[in-house]
Formats: sequence, structure tokens, C-alpha cells
Amino acid sequence: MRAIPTVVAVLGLLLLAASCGDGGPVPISGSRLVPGRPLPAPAGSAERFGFAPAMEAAHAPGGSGTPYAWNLPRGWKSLPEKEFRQGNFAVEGRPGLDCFLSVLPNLGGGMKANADRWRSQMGLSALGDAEFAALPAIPVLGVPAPVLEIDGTYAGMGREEPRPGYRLVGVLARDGETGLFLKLTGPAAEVLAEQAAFLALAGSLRRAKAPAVPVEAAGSGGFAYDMPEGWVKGRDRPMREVTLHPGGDESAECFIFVLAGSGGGTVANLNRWRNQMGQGDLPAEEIDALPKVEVLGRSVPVIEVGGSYTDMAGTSRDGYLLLGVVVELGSSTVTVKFTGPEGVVRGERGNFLAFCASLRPRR
Amino acid sequence: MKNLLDRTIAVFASNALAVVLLLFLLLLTFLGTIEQADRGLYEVQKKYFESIFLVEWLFDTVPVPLPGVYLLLVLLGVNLLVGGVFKVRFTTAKIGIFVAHLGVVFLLLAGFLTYRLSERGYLMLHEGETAAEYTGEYDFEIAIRPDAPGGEVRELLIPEKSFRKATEDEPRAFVSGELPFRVEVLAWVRHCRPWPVQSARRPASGAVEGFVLERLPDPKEAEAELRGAHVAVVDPASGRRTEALLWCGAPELPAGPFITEAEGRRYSLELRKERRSLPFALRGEKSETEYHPRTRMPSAFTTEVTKIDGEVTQRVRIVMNEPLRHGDFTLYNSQVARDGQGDYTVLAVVRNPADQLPLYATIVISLGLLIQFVRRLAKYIGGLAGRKA
Repeated sequence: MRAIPTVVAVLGLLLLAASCGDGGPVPISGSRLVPGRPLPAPAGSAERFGFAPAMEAAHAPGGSGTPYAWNLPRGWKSLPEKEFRQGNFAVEGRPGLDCFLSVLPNLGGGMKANADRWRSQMGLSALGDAEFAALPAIPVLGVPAPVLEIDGTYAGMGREEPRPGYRLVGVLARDGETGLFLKLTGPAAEVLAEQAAFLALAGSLRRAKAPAVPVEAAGSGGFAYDMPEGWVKGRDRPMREVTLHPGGDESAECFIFVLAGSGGGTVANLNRWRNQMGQGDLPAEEIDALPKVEVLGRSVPVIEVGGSYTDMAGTSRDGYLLLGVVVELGSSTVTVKFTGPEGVVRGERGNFLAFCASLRPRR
Repeated sequence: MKNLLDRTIAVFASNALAVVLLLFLLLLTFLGTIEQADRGLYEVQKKYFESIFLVEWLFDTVPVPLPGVYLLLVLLGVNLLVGGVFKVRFTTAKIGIFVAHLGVVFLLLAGFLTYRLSERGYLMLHEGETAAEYTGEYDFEIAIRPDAPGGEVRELLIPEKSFRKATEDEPRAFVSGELPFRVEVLAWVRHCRPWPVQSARRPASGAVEGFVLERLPDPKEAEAELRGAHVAVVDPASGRRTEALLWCGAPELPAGPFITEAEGRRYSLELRKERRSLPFALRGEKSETEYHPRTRMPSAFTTEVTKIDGEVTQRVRIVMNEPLRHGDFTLYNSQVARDGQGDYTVLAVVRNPADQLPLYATIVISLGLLIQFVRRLAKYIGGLAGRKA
């Protein structure tokens, strides 16, 4: 019995030793020699994970009056339209794949009804409401569009021989009361190989109207610009030429600010923005080495800073990203600044750069 | 004290213990076989055969604690050893039994060494392609390599087991004198896919560039798991962090590596199944499949390869029951198939330093039984001769 305290003490010490990791960095001990090879250029998550395959062509509305447009992934081509196939697609080297877009009024009888129809083509029963609501979704036309992924035997409309080992991927998108149903079927391995391109095609669906509308800026500076698709104009603010919000999301904002004279200069302004993101100053030569864009006839550096954003009111927000350009025009300096949650700003980077490039003096 | 020791030895050397252990082994083998229908082989092996204890749920409601096969086999080894040493009185008459006991203990030891030391994986080889590494079956790693247009570079490897418990609150950090940055793992996800953050239903990581790792239901087979990790590359001088999601990708959905730049050089970070080097290279020459008559069911695979070991090259034919052996390595035919690059063969690779031990153990057991049998036979024949005389 006298041994019990000793045993307990020893066990306690062992437990303490086991739990006392210092939590510090661990040296990497594993390694091996491998043949060297050049690495690819850095790529964003969308590209690395196959959500942004190189798009070859943007489709313009055809003679049939399809009111939607899309970007074709590389290796994909459009086929002539057919009844109920306002978009009809083929993939080079994959003759077993069938992909088409149906645009139907009144949601084609309902989103869930169409999901259940696709399930029945794969020999499955209808989904429950909760199951339908739990389907994964991707943003299409600014609205989450459920994605259906089914492996099994494809019977199609019932007029063909059942085809085992097939996969069906479908996107159920809506634009108001119009249903957009994009479906890909084929041998499972082939569908999987093209699934990311298919989802990218779905994500590129948009209304086939003029992509950018010239808008006159409201402020005194007198600049015109092309409004990126999906962006909306925010309320007027003092000192700002204009404030825009991508997708109406006010957590992200892009605004034009005009300063008199040099406004302190490009380096000082860009470093002020870096400081707002909690980052230190960059020397002039590093700023000069930043990627450039053409704005108002001048090649200017684009700054991209991530971190915790502290605005002029002193409010801090973590996980933010700032994009900005400063254009010195001599008598005035134009600054364009875009801030917001990192995911939003990164997703709208292309629109921001296009917006900057579209800036022009108002006639 | 002596009494206690005697009783302990008596318990560990008892036939009753052996019977109980064997009954438990029978029960666990039965339960494992049944469960394998619903769960994968890997998971079942982990639960029943590589565990000390486990909990079996009776009718999904009553927990029943059970010893694992690992513990049972250790106890069985002790039982045989103690029984052999203390129970079987060592006389020349019982030398056969003693040797057979020793052989069984040796066999259990061989099993233990195989479990601890062996590695399994696979090697995919197209015709005309040369490979000197194979891919592990279950475990993943983060590989970091610098940009290098040629020559040899050192690839740094962080095994998955060292960051499985990483969370954003308790990240796991890794450093190396060869890297100008620190790598922090903020999350590890067993089975997932990258997915746009707006529509993710089961996010299992922080968001990076509008994507998260979305947890997927565990697949039946562990080989099909798609790993993901949320990492940050941190410049120790400035404290600047760059976050990225790493995903192992699938054969049909390959994921590109994360590329970062530091001190004017590019580095790639890749999450992938563990890759291990072979002490030789193999060049695929020819792959053939024979089918059962009038079916597409393979009856035999044949692979011809050239083994390149330094300056020595050797043409080897791998067929059923005739694997390629080289030191601790054994390569078996597993599959022959065709993809966009042409025919390829998948070779199962097993590295087992204890490969031959079961054979030696079986020889020892056979020898022990033979000695015992011959002695008993001689005694019997001697007895017959005595009765006749």
C-alpha cells in the first residue's frame, strides 16, 4: 500500500513530461535528393484547384436569342443548338461526354423537381427537402447554385440502353424565375477529368448584355469609367469621387480620391496604405518594381497588401486585402483604393484592374 | 514475494491463458471480418489488429471493451515464452517441444518486426518510363523543394503524423536551415476538397483566396482519402505571412503545388502521398494481361522491366508468384492498364527487412515437431521391439 503514492507520483511526472512540449518550431529532419526542375509560376487557389481553367472564348448570344453568355474552357467547343439545348458542348478527345445548358422559364417546373429528374435518370429516388437544401453549391449569376454529383448507371430519358459506370454532374442555377440547368454526363473517369472545367463554365454564366456600361462619375474631378459587371454604386461620401461595392457587398469598397498637386507622391501614398494594413514601408525601388498597369495614360504600380486593415476611423479588420493605384497627373493625383475581405477582393482583382484601366477624363 | 512471483509465472505460463487468448483472437478475427464489409481494410486493421484496446458497440448501444489483437499477440508471446522456460521441463525428451515453442515465439516476433518495420506502396510505370521511387499507400507528407533548372536538389519532407493535430489555435511550425521561411500548418483535414467559401457546407479550414477545404464523408477505403492542409509561409524577419491551402488532388483532379518566393528564389509546397526512394531504378519495357476465356477478367499479369542498379542493368520478368526481389524490397504485379500515355503497369512495392523471418521461424517449428515426432516414433518402435522380444 505504501507504494501507491510513489506509483501515482511517477505516473503524474510521466504525464507531465508527455504534455510538456515546448510548442516551438520543429526542425524538418526528412529530406532526399531529387532531380532538379524549374518550378511553375505562382498561381492562385482557383487555378491550382482547377476552378479557373484557361478560358478560350467568350460566347456571345447567338441567333436564337439565348440571353446568356459563358466562357468555354480550353479544349471545349460549342455544338449547334437543339431543342432544350440553348448551349450544347463537346470536349475534344472525350466523345463519351454529353454536356448542355437548358434555359427554362418558371424554373423549369422547380429546382428540386429538376434535381429529382436527374437523379431518376441515374436510377435514384427523389431527394428530401433537407437533402436538397444540403447539396453543395457554387455561385452562378451571384446566387448559390446547387451542384448534383451522382455515380451509377445512366438511363437518360429511358430510350437508350442503361450505361453503367457513368457519372452525372449538374448545376441548377436561377436568374429570377428563369432556370439554367447545366448537365454533364459520361463515363465516370472522363467526367471527373472535366468536372473542374465544367464548374468553371457554370461559374462563367452571365447575362449576355454589354459587359460594361460607361458611367459618368458624380464627383467634381470629372472622370468617367466602365462599371464592372455586378458592381454597384454606393452612397456618396465626402471627398470621394465615387464609391463602388462589388456585388453590393458593403464590406468591400472601391473608391476614387483626388488629391491636389502630388498629394505627397506615389511612394508616400502607397506606404500610407501599407501602414493601414499593419505593414512597414517599402523603399522606392521596391515600389518601382511592383507590377504596373496603364491608368489615365500613365504606367503606375499596383500595390497589393494583405493583413489587418485599420481605416481612417481607427477600426481594425483582420483578413483584409488592399489593392490600389496612385496616378500623379501634375496638377492633381488620383488614387483608386479597393479594400475588403481577402477572398472578395482577390476574386474581384480582375474587375478592379479593368475598372482602373477604364478611367478616363469626362468629356 | 516468492509466492507472488510463482503465481504470476503460473498465470502467464498457463494453458488456460493460452486458451482465453486464442478465443479472443478468434472473436476479434470474426468481428474484424464482418466489419470489413462496411469499413475499409485499413480502418479495420487499425481498430482490431493494431490496437491495445478497443470498444465494440453491442446493438449500437452497449459499449463492450475488448483487448486488441496487438495486446493479445504480445501476451501470447509471453505465454509461450514463459511456458516454454518455466513449464516445460527441459529434458532431452522434450527438446522438440521446446524448439517448436521457440519457433512460434520467433514467428510472433517476425510478425511484430514486419508490423513495425515494413513499408508498402505502389509504383506506376509506363512503357519506356524510368522510375526510382514509389508512393506510399496511406500516409501523406508536405514536400518543399526549391526551383532548380537541373542537377540535384534537396527536397525537404514533413511527414503527416507531425501535423495531424494542428489547429489555428495551436499551429505546428517547421523550420530548416535550408529554408528562408517558416512553415506553419494551421489545419489538417482527413478527407476534403477545395471549394468556394460562399457555398461550402462543411468548411474545415480557414478561407484563402475565396476557397476553403470542405470536409467530405470518409470513404470506405483509406486509400481513397483526399488530404488537405491549411498552411502559412512566414518570413521570420518581417513576420509577413502568406497563407495557402494544400490539397493532394486525385488522379483525375490533380492539384497544382503552392509556389512561394523568398530571397529571390521560388519554392514549391506540395501535399502528397509519401514518396520513397528505391535503391535501384526500373524502366518499363512491356506489360501484358491474360484473361480468363471469353471474359475481360484478368487471369495473369506479366511485366517486363529493366532493373538499373548503378552500372548494372538486368532485364527482369515479373509474373504471378515470381516477384522482383532486391534486398529488403519485393515488387509484385498489381495491375496493368492504359491511359492517355499508353500502357502502364502498377507494381505493389513491399519493403520488409523481416521478410525471411517467418520462413526461418517455420523451419524452426518444423524442426522442433520433427524432433519430437522422430523421438516418439523411435520410442514406439523400440517399445514394439521390446514386446516382441
